[in-house]
Amino acid sequence: MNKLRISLLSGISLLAIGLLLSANPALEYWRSKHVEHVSASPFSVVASTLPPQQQYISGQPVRIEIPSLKIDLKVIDGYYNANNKAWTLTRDKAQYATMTAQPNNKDGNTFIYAHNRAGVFHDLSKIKVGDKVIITTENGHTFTYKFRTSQETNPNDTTLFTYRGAPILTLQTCSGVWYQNRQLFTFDLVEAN
Amino acid sequence: MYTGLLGAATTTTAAVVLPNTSGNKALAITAMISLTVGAVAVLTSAARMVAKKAHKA
Repeated sequence: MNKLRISLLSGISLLAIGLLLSANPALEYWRSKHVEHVSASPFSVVASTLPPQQQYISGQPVRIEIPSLKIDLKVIDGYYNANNKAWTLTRDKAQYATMTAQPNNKDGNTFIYAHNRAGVFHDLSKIKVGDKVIITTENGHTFTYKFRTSQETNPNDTTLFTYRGAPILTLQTCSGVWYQNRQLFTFDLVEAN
Repeated sequence: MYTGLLGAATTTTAAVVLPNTSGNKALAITAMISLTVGAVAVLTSAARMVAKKAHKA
């Protein structure tokens, strides 16, 4: 076999490897496109559907469960470093953005983020409207949220941080073939104990 | 810093960007390099084969 043929076969092999490796993220991206999306921001003020409660309850989130996706993760605090524009992030846990509201029964947006990796938030794109998320806090409260909508946005979209209104939960992981986008999943609070 | 109840909430959002929660970036970079190098190898090999055949003819 001459050098040219070896070079050609090597090139074809590399192309095949490249296509195989990029197939999964491409498939995930395609799948995320089929989650119910909204064109308008999901962070406009919504009225609470919760019965009026006498007592304000809130707490530091320490656990997140999504039974329909078999996700059960420890939640730790996540901090933003304005100098390098980066958030603290672990490979195997979810992070609660401490600059947002703690889970509570009155108002605000609780923001939790994690990697788009197996065992973390990789399967979030499979979530369906109505699926529940349960957040447990360190002081023993549980907050149950129901999935409402999903939105793909760019890293500079900070509308979720300015939300005011009924208590909601936003989960985030990255999306796009090269993980260049941010996929936001919005949930409404339905129960607080 | 978030302070709690409705109306009293204040969040510092100046210059904040959303977290980079990407998946396996090494895999994505490997895929991109494989595709690029593979495409270059195929194109140059094919061009050289054509040129070689033309030279023989």
